[in-house]
Amino acid sequence: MKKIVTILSFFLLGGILLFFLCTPDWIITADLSSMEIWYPNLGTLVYFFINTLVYYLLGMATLCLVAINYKYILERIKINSREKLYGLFLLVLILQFGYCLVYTEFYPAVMMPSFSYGKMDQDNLSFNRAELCVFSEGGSVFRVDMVELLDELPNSMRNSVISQSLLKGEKDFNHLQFKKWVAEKMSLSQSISRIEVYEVTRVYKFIKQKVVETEEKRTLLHVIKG
Amino acid sequence: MRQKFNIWMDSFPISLEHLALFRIFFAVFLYSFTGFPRFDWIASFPDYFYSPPPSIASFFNDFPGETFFYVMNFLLPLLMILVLVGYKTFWVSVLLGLGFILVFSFEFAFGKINHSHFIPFTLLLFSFSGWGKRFSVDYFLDREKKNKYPAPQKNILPLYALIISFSYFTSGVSKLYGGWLNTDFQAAFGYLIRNYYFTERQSLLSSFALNLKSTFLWEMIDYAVVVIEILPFCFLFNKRVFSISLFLLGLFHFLVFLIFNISFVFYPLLFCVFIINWEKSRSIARLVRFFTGKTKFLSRPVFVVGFVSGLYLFYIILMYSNIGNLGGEYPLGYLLALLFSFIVLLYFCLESVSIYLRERKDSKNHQIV
Repeated sequence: MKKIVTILSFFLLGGILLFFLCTPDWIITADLSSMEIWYPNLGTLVYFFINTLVYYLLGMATLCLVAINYKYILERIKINSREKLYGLFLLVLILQFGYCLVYTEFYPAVMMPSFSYGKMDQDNLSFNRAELCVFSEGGSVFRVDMVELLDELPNSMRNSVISQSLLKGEKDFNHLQFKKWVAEKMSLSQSISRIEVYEVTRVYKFIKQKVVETEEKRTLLHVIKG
Repeated sequence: MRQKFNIWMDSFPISLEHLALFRIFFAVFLYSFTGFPRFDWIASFPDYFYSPPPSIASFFNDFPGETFFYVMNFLLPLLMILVLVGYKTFWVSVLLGLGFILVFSFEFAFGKINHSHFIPFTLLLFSFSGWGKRFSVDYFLDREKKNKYPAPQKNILPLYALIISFSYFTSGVSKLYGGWLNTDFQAAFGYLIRNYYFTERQSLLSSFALNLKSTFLWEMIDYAVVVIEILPFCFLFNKRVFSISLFLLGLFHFLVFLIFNISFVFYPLLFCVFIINWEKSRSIARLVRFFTGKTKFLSRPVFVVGFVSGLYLFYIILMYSNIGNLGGEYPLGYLLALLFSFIVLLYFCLESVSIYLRERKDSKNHQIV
């Protein structure tokens, strides 16, 4: 019986892998609505087959193989405690790398800066900056680039901090504390009534070893009152 | 494969004296180039900037108060000195490693991780190696008490090799998938433009590099970067190629600082532990004699106190000066840390090569005889 299940599981695994190899990417990655448009009659069925059933079968086949043959596998790979430790360590390294790739990098992770984004269009270099429009109680308006307020941070950190702050919503931070900090940084004597945060997208071209600005777009992201 | 793996797990044998020397190298560089690091500036930022990646900091809603950072400002240098002189080295190394992780977690809570993890990892791993058992206060105390030093003593170098090589491997693989080998564009040159114009890193050789217009050269640089970063992990079991690839990584860091002005402080020094031929190096033997010879002058308290004070003075000069903007956005000490650590790496690499060549010549002569 064990032998039959093992053989069946092997065939199932092989069949699924072959299925993935032979099925075009556009079918595998398609969502439900596209499937329904392409295949009006069987679209839903094909979608659920690819997205649910295949993975379920894959999991079951692997589980069957391991569960039935674990004694045989353990006998074949008799490993000492040191090998286990190193194996486990390597597994942890691979898992943490996978997590960083799929979700986000954490600290401390065994990673080096990826600089993975290789392609850079020299005719269309775009950079985002954050600009604050500060309204004082007295009615004066000041504009300031957020980079100027982050002088304590190293250059390399400033742009990341700005891109993080551009993602900020309006509620999840202490507005009063932020306004006080801006006033201190700008050495304003009057108190601040509100701050508008703008995302400034500047587009550049790299021509004859020089960067030339071609376009600027300004979007109001959020208003800090309170 | 399994046999190779088992041999590798016993590779990089290193004596307690040599581990102690590495501890002193590491602590000297750490102390003289980070000296009295200040973290209290972090507390001055409002919670608007608090966007921690998954880390210890993600358990908090805001930056800790100034008091916490003032304590860390005082505690970390104190622990660094204790690692240098080797007092309660095991616990102090663990504490210092954890302290760095804790403080860096809050520093990176602005949303940018700076990949300085080799420093805490080195401390945490080497604390288990017994690197405080020689040339240390612990050694004298234990000798007086005539009891066995309880600190663990494990061969952690294969694990350390795995951490270093895997770190660079992740970077190399990401570049590989990011299209760095695509000949339609030159990724390194693209990053240079970003660095030069938008991050404003314009010191040292960056202007010169920006004027290099050869597409072929920049494409070769793209290829070289990917290969250099992947190589150590692929040749983990081949000690000779592994050492060479680590030297290339040291050179890579040095060039990255010159061209891109990105500093990884004294990382090349960390690679030395695999490159130095500890048993046969004459320079290392000479250094050991300073501790064990007749005069033992490196073991004298007066010398230790003088040495630590000298390092601190050196640190003050380095960290608060930036002659001719040589260090770019960093203090001059960062440039010198990298330069000195690279010189040390280069020196020991050349020495190891000469030892290897001499041995090969001797064995050939022996065969002929």
